[in-house]
Amino acid sequence: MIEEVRIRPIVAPALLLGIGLGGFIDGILLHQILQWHNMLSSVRPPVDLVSMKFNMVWDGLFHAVTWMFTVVGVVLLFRAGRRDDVVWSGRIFFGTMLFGWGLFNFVEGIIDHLIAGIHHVHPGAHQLAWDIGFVALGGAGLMLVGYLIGRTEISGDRMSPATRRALAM
Amino acid sequence: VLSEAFWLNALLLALPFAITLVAVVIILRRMHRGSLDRGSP
Repeated sequence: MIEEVRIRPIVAPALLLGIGLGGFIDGILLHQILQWHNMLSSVRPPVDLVSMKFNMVWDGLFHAVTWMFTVVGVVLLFRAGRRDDVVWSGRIFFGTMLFGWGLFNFVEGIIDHLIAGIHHVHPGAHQLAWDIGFVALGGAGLMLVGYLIGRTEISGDRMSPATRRALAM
Repeated sequence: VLSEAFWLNALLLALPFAITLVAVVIILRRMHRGSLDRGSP
């Protein structure tokens, strides 16, 4: 079992980058490209230009926060890269990123979609099914997949050469 | 454009990020405690 202190410096940035980049995927794919919803599209549906501008501002603020998470994640990753005692594992890093992405989707899905209802994943027919599917697959599902990917390294089942080198120091 | 129920909207925007950040801190603190329990540095 790898000591947690040697993976923590890479887990922290991976979680933040998962939240930040996952938020960008949400905003770019669902808000802008597919145009399924906007940040406040259930509060003020974007049916005219003024309402669209209103939603664009709040989409922009959403992206501003995800950008800040990403920047802090990059800074922490840079700091981790300067240490020679950190387990530099791709499986831990990308698994934790998926976990962070799923964690944010899970929380955002429950609060914004299911409780507050400020927007829905795919408004209209079957919107509750879309919202529950988002929490289950995009939230809990991604968290589970990310955890399982990282766990293969932590448990030592399939340890990479980089991990063996870090542990040998 | 921003004035319409600004603070309520801002709260609803920030809340998921804040809760996720608290969860991240809890995860990292638990990891740290776990390592100390095992006597590692």
